[in-house]
Amino acid sequence: MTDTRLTRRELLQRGAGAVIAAGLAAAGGYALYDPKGNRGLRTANDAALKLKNYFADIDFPASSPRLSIATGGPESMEKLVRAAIGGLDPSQGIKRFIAKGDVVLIKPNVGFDRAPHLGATTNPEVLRWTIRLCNEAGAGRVIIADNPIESPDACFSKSGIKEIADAEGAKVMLPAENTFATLAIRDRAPDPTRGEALGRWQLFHRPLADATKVIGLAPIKDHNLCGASMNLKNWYGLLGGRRNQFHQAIHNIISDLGLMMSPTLVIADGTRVMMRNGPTGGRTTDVKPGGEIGRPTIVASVDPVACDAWCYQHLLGRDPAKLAYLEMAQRKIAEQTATGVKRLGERDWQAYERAGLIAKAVL
Amino acid sequence: MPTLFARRYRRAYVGPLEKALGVLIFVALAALVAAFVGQFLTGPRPSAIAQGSMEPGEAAGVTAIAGKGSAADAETAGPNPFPDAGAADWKAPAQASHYTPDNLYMKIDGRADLYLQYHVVAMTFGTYAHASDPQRTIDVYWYDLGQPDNAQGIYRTEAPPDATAVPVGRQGYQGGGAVFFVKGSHYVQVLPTGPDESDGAAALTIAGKIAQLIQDAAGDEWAPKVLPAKGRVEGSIEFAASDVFDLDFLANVYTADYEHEGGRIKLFIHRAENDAAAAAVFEKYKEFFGEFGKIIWTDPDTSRCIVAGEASDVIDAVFVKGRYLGGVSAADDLETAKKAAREFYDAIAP
Repeated sequence: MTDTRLTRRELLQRGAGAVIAAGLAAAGGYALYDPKGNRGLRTANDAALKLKNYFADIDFPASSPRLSIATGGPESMEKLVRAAIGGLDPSQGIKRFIAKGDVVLIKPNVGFDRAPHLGATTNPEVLRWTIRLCNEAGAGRVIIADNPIESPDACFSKSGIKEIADAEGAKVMLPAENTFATLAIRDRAPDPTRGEALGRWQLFHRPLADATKVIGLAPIKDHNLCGASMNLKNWYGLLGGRRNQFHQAIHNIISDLGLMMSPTLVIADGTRVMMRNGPTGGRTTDVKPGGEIGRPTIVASVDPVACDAWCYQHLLGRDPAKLAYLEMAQRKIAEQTATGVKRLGERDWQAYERAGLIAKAVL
Repeated sequence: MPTLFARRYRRAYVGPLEKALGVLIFVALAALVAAFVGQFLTGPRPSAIAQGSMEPGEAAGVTAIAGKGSAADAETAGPNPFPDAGAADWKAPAQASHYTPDNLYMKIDGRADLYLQYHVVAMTFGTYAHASDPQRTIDVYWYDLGQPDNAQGIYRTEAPPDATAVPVGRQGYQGGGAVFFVKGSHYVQVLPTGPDESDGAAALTIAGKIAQLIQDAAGDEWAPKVLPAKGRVEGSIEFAASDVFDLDFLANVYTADYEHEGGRIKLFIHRAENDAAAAAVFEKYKEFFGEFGKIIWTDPDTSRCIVAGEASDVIDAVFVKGRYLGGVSAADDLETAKKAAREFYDAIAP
């Protein structure tokens, strides 16, 4: 039998080795330890992300309509959605915007745990047909995402959005800790004297990072603080952090959101317009199908500012010249396009009408 | 010496590379175990949902993590005040969520600010569930406004002009199945998930049961007696608790619409603690005219203390009489403002 006893030298060597190994293990454990689970996320000190321009790659002829308005009875949501989107390009329809294999993020308003008929959230049937059109165009994946302040599960469930998304095979992405990132909306601190609110801010970014195309799908609502919640305001739902602090500068933040997000397409859901007591409502009497038009209406547009202006005037019956954030968004986007950025932001929707760039369908 | 995994032959030599790899594997495994244990004992649960407070520069979109002492826990702490439904097949909320003025925005973001203007003290939320159909629920938003005047104010602000009255609380109405009522300093909204008529009946029963729990108290109700009855548009009296007409010095004001010489005007009235306090608000109104426009008329009859001013293209006429400050807001023209303000002034008993 071989003698296996340790010599003093071997004992010291092995002891030292064990101590070193234990120390390295402790150091490794400390390095990997992540008590908040946020280690993988970017901080404000990192190079902040910039949101891509989801409209930039769209080959959109100058002669194509900027706004497409479809009005009809409540019996066929499919026809309304098809007519609205199809009006932007009668030959290609949704395929003008969605290519085969695209990952499409549809951002509805799911801000409250209210039933669909109260009009506080996007009409699930409008969402259903928007998803179907994307799938018909060959989208590889459709993501539905929003970041409600109150329980996202309850909001997605009670609003009917989750049920429709599941039924149509879209993926609902709920906010969670590792889905936020710091976005640089501008490269300097915001200047409130210029109507600015955002410099760098936490955004529900994961769905945007995955997406190659983004569609805003907002219900048209009265809003207690800012006059109206439409497509520009809809991006507010992507903000993280203590976003209620922006209520004091609501027009600054909404116009900044218009600057931040250049979507592929926006769709205004005017099927159940909340005419008063917004943005929560609660009474069926607060809601009017089609608002001032009186019949369910869907507006599709490549210009979110013009779309909001048109809806504010025709669905809510108010003067867009008096809605501060529209003018501010137009100014901010104009500064952007002056540097060569490809996008649209025209408050004066009538300029499009004069140029024959509005399509209308009455069903 | 026997071991569990004894070798048949002792290895005479273990190379330095083999030793280094062994140490590295050991260290990595140990580090992973240590990190996992640490994370499991102290880290957040994976289900924590992003919401709430975060300042710019913090790492994540979340600091209010569901867990001990978090904001999420605070919402459901406290008593459950909801009574039995009193309607067949409906179950009372298993728990109540409590909101304060600080976190009301978490439930009604964008609308909370209006309730803050009416000095909301608390809101309690609960959901009545149908026994056999989980899709059918009735949500209750139970606001405590602190004072009956505040509760009446927000109730009147939100009520549609053609609401169908129901005998619940001090005043109530029902539309599309939902029931809204005010009683004492409380304003309660009972909202069925769907517009089903039978759920509307259950909502009415639940509203009645909740109303029984609320102590009634009338507001002072002085305003309907002071505001002129002649020409007043029915149901147009509203109460605004703060920042009235976007003026930060003007609070606790009643307004009402009037048919006046073929047009429509809005009168307003505020009752101060005493004459001096009313006079102080009057002076602030005049300062406002001076800062953002100008005083365009002062009543030459010095027995009346009335001025009219124009600011931001809006003409107001304002008077002070004893502890009352009143006037005409956003008149179409100066002559209308002068005439209506004088009539209102004269109608108030000295």
